[in-house]
Formats: sequence, structure tokens, C-alpha cells
Amino acid sequence: MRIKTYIATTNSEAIKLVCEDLGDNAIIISSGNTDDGNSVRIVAAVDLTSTSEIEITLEEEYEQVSNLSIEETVKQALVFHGVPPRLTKQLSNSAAKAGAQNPTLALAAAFETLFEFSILRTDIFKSPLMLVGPPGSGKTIVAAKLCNQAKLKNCTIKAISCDTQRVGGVEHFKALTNHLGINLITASKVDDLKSHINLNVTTQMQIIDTTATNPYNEFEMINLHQRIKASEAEPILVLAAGSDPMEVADITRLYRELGVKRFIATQMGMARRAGSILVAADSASLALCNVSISAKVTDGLKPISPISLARLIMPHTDNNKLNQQNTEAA
Amino acid sequence: MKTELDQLVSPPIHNRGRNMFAIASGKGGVGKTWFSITLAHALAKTGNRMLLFDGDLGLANLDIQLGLMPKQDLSNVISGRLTLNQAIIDYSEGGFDIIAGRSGSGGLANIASSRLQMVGDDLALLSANYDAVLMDLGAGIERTVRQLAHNAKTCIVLLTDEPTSLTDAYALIKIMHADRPEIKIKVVTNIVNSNREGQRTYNTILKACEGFLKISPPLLGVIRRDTRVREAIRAQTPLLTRFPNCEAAQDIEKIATNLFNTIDS
Repeated sequence: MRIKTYIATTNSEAIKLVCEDLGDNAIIISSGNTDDGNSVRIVAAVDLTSTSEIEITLEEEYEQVSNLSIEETVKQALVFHGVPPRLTKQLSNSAAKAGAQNPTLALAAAFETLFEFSILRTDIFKSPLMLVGPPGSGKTIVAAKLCNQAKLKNCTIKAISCDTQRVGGVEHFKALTNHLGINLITASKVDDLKSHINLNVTTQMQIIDTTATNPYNEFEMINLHQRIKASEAEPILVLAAGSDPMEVADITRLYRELGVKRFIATQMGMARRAGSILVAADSASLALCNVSISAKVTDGLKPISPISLARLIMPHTDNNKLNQQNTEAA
Repeated sequence: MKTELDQLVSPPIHNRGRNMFAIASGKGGVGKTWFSITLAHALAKTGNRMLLFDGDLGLANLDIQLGLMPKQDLSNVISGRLTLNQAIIDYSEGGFDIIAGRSGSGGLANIASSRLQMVGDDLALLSANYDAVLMDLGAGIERTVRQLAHNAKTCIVLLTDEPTSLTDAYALIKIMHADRPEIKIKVVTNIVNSNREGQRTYNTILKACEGFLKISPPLLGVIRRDTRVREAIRAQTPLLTRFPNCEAAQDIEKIATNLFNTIDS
């Protein structure tokens, strides 16, 4: 906006000056007599940039990639998520070398290079799945979600609970499986578990919920190991997002020794920092399969890919807004 | 189609930022930081839980005006050493909380926009613990200034009667309105000789906004020229502590009352 004061002997003279100088689009902002009362003072303004031009400028601004390098942008995001310095450096270096156009894609490329992703399918199961993990990570809810997803695909399901030591452990799973019309089997001893697994080889999906284990307790880990061996199940670690990354680094290595190769991240909806997920994928080389967002069984498990993980880590990167607008427009 | 994971990536913010007020001016040197401090103080004095955030990333000086030597500030948050709530300082003298910037730190102005948005989001989360959050934004109309305030529902635009202040304030209003049409804009005229002159200054910007932008931002208040303001700033003491009954103090208290009505609405 340009603003200018005009002084003339009469109002009409002053307005004439405004029109000559600022053109027909000018508006009078104020008018009155000068202090001595002999002349007229008019303040007029004209806005040379139209609103649509401003909107175009703003669009262009959103399209611009930040002045910061991709490496620095990725690094700042990883620091926010509590990723330890060594992994931050490794990921941001790898992102910088990816040659991607924006930080999110660069980080996705780094994830692709450094981590393994293996989506858990609920229609083809080669071996039974055993959900293992520390207390409160959401094993039972994940088990119920898997049962629900398999049920929707008309698979035959066998649900087994080894969670007999905790008060209400079996009952919790039972309440969920009853709802799905699945008969829950309990197996408190290793031999029971073995017999149940061997009983029905035609079942498409066999899901085993286990008692929470303290990974630092050798006795509990041996017990769990015996169950994994007896059932010949694939142990899948269930880990709550938002845990302390360093703690996760320690415990994932211990579960890795039991033969765990994949993990499911849970409670994603209530964690704002996802550093622990990256650490789990890094320190014990575990493959990230699916994520669980809420405790609602019907919400199911969501698949996760390098790009969706990168968007989770960098939700506000410049081009995300643009991409989102494009997606919505499409 | 948007998946649930995508929604998680860009969470809905609904009511977030309802009580967040961005304070901006376009032009520097119109008394933005002083106004922010005094308004926070006035609101705190009437029993409101207040947080004052120094959003002037390039030349933060909120702590200087208050004579504070903060141990923690926004730079610790940006570097990942502290979470935003750990950077809060209890300014007991004024009865409100502060998040300080770092004076003269060019580094703070050099933040990735994604990181800046996260800080803005964190601030919106923190705002739930307060009756109101005031954000003292930097001068200018750059994206960093606007981005930090992206969760604020109201923007208070401060201006004086100088033509440069008027045109810069207008430019700020224009760009804010184009960027986020839903933001409520309110005008405060500062360092004016009388209420009448303040009203006249407001009428000038109002006419420009109505004529060119077809919007009518309301007047939140007028702050009269008062030599006590300068004295208080030089003494690094809040105006309401040093000269609680001076004209400018009364004007700010009036604005606080008006503003509080808008928090409730």
C-alpha cells in the first residue's frame, strides 16, 4: 500500500491531485482542514498488489524448499524425536546422499537403505505368530487385532493365550475373542502349548499371546524361549512407541537373542516422539512390520513403509503441505 | 485416499490455540515487546495464568526488558536439549511464565520450517495449561514470523501513527488474511497523543482494510504516549510494577479487560 498526504485550497482540488497521482483505485483515508485552517488536507492510499497476487506469492513460498540443507532439516527432526546422536548422524548423512528433492523423501530413502520393513500379512501365515514383549506394550490388543483382521478375510483362526500368570490375562483376551466368535485356548505349560499347536495343522492362522516378560530377568526369558521353541512360532516383539530410546536399544537386543526378527510398534496415537521405533530398527536390526495407532480392536494394524515412517518423523516438512493439498485436490 | 496413518501425521487441531494471541506489528520499534510484557502482566494481575513466549527469533529481547538472566531459553529447545515446557521460566515478580529467546542469536532465526512448526505445535499443547498465551513475534512479514503463529486464533496488530508503521501494519494484515482467512485480527494503536488521535489512526488502517481487503478488524485499544514507559524500560522493570497508575498502564489494563472478553467468547 502506498500512502500520501495532499494539501490544497479546496476539497475538489485535493481529490483531483489524488486521482492524478494515485489513479482511480485510490481511496481517501482521512480528510480535514490543516492546522492553520486555510487549506484542506487529504490522506489517500492505493494498494498496488492485488490479493490474488499475494495468494500466488504465498503458494510459491510454500513450494520453496527451506534454506537449510536436507541434512540439517533431517537432523533437527531426528533430534526432536530423541534419536541418539550416532543414529541421527547416520540417518542424516544417508538422507543427504539420497539426492531426493525434499527432506521427507530423503529421510525415506535413508530408512530404505538402513532399515528393514516387512509387512505382516493376515492372510498367509507360514508359522504361528507369538506376540512377546515387556509389560504394557499392548500384546493382547495386537493379538485381538490380528484375529479380527484374519476373521474379516475368512481365515480359520486359532487363538491361544499363555498369559495365565497375570490376573485377568486370559480373561482380557477371552473377552476380545468371544466378541469375534473365536474360542480361546489356554496353555499354561510348555507341553500344553506344543500339543495345541500340533493338534490342528489345517488352521490358517495361529496366534499366541504371552505373559509379559522382563527382558532382564533370565528366568522369564528362558521360559519364553521354551515356549517359542515348543510352538515353532515366529516371535514378534510388541513395543510401545514413546518409550525411552536408550532403554529400547537395550531390550530389543535381548529379545533379538530369543530369535525375534520383527516388531510391531503400538500406541502410536499417543506418542509424539518416535525415536524409540528407529532405535529398535537400528540397534537390534529388527524389521518394522506394522503399527497400532489406538487400543480399538476394530482399528486394526496399519502397514508402515519408509515413506510413511518418514512423514511421521517430519510431519511438517515444506512439501508435505503441498503434497497433501495435491492429494486432496486429486 | 487418506489413511489413518496420514491423519496421525497431520493431527486435527480443533480447539488448539483458542487462547493463543500473536502480537505483531510489521514494522519494528513500535513497542511490541513492551506491549506484550505489560499486557501479560496486566492479565496475570487479574488472576489469569499467563505464558509469554518470545517469538522474535532473530533479536529476542523479552528477557532483557525484564532484566532476567534466563538459564534456559528457546535455543535449548531447538537444539533438542530441553522440551518446550522445560524452557519455561517462572517470572514470579509479574506472576506469569516466560519462554525466552536468545538475544542476538542468529542461530534461532535459522531453523528448519518443519522444526519451527513443531515448536508452534508444542506451544499449542502447552497453551492448555494457561488462560492465555501471548506470542511476541518478530518484526517483518516473513514466513518464519507467520509460521510460528500458525496455531494462534487471534493476531493483535500494534501500530503507531507514523505512515511507515501504518503501511507495514497493513502489509502484515493483508498477508496474514490471505494466508489464514480464519485468523481474527485486532488493532492496538500505540504512542498516540490522545484517545482521539488513537481512534483516528485506527480509522486510517480500518479504511484501508475495508477499502482494499473488505475486512474490518476491530480496535482493541489505544495506548497514550507516556514518558513513564521509557523510564520503566530503562529500569528493566515492568511498567505495572514501577508506575501502576500512569496513563499507559491504565490503557493496557483496559485492553486486558477487552481481550479477556474475547478469550471467553
